[in-house]
Amino acid sequence: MEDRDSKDIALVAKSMQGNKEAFRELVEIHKNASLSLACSILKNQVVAEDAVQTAFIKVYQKMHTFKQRSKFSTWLYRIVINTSYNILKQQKKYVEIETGETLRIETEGEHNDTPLMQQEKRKYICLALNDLNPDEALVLRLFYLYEYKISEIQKITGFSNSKIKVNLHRGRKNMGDRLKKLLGNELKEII
Amino acid sequence: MKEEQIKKVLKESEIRTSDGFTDRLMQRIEQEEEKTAIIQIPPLSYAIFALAALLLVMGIYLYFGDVPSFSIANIRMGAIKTPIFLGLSFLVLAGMNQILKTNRSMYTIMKN
Repeated sequence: MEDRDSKDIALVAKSMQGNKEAFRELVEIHKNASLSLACSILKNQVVAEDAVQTAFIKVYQKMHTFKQRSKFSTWLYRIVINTSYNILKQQKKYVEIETGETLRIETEGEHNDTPLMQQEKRKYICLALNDLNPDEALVLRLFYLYEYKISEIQKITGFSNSKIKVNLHRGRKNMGDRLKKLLGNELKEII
Repeated sequence: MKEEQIKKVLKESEIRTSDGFTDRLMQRIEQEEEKTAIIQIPPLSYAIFALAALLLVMGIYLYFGDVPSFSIANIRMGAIKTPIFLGLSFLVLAGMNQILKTNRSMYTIMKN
């Protein structure tokens, strides 16, 4: 994580000098995490990708205002989240996420499962996550997937300490319930 | 579900961007930069606005103000102050129209 932060700092410095290749590298590093966070809120990959692109454009244009008081990822994810919530407000209703071909889940890590089972597993996990309220899905991903501490989640989301804890608690419970409902006895195979 | 189980499950929940995401983004950034270059035009519209405002003030002063009568090339200004005022008003309206048109085209560019 620290290696990534120092790499980010170097790339940010180059980007500030107008180096587009450095900015491209920053995008490559953070695009999937940004998209996952935007999807937690917007529940639709196409809309979320557009939100992430808009957020990256803002970041590129406002790069000179980044004072490095926080990590670059914290600053970036905050912009992604604010952009996504603004879009959500404009939509005024949640759009159901498209599953299947349009939703592709990161395959990093070692897995002993067959590709089909892995794909199915991810599909159900995402279906369960997309059933959650945006705040819960967002906090769950930040805490468990990206392993941010609660203090960092506060900086990224602007939520209070208690709101984060409540969302984590409710999110865990609701996620478990959704998975049980979706998979029944097969849930044991996933976990 | 236990915390460790949730953690294990959520580790599978990262979503990947579609192919060409970064290329599309870099293209959009280049387009934004081009728009920014076009949006540098506003100083021109400010100049038009300033000129229009100056002409309006002059027109009002000439028409309503207590201007002593004077002649230019044997033409008494008091006699033609109405056409001058109308001419100046036309220029002001044309200037305003130009600003609105510029704003509208800028908005269209930004929207696209």
